[in-house]
Amino acid sequence: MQDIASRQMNLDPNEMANRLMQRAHNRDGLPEMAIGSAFLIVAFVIFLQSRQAAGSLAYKSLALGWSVLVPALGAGLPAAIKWLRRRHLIHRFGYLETTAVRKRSLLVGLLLAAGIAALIGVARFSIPDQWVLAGAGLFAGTLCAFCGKLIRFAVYGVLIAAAGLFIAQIRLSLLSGFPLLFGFCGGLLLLSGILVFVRYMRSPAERIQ
Amino acid sequence: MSSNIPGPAEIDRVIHEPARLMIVALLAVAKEADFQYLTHATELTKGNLSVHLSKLEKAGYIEIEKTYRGKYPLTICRLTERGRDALSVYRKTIRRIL
Repeated sequence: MQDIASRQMNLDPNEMANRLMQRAHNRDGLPEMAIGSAFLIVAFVIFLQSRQAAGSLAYKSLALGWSVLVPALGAGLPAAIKWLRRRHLIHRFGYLETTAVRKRSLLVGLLLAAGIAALIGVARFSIPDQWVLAGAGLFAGTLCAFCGKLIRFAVYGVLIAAAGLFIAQIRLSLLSGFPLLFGFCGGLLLLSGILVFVRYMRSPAERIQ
Repeated sequence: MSSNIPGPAEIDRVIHEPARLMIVALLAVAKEADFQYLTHATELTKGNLSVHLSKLEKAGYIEIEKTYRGKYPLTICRLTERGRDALSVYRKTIRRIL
């Protein structure tokens, strides 16, 4: 199919390759399922934290728990997806070994996300909760829309940003708003991932579009 | 045509073809990839991809290794140093034109 090739021709070869790899990466729905599950787990832990008395041991433990859980999931999920694809889906997905440069850029992305999360943590003391929630929704939506490289991610990005703005509008505290926002993101991505995965597995292995 | 702008003869025809450019660009950022992965990533048909891979291999830009992972046969493609250099030169040439 030459159409895709022609569409990519006005890009730098590096940019073109990254786009193609990102599209291939999101083709089977596994990354969506993984990210969706991670969002739901974090939402659940924050929800549990919101039910504890502020300052209690359980409250502090849960706060520590999700701050450890986020980088752990960020580092562990790509490895789990790679293992699953190599072990069970190699006949469909194929085999890819990325360069150290690509692995490094993934690490930089994780560190950047952790930095932004820390910034939000600091900002919450000087910025009203609804601004933090709206900002988090807009940030997550923008990230989803730009990183997915597929039309469905642009749609999800808009939905996530709208959810962030809506949750900010109803003036919830951060501990009530974040589980809602993350729960929405997680549910949306998990559901989408499952649908894409089922469709992927039902398509003939010879030619998956 | 100004002397600063490269002529058509300076453009590497092997890489300039859109499908082959996609393959070479992909292999430049990946350490190695198999035929199946390249089929999905480029959305080329198997026959078409096979032809382009043969041309790239003939030009010495990629190397192809046939191996197995368990019972699953893999046709692994890697960009050679020559291919990497050719892509780099191609990128510079195209930048000069654009």
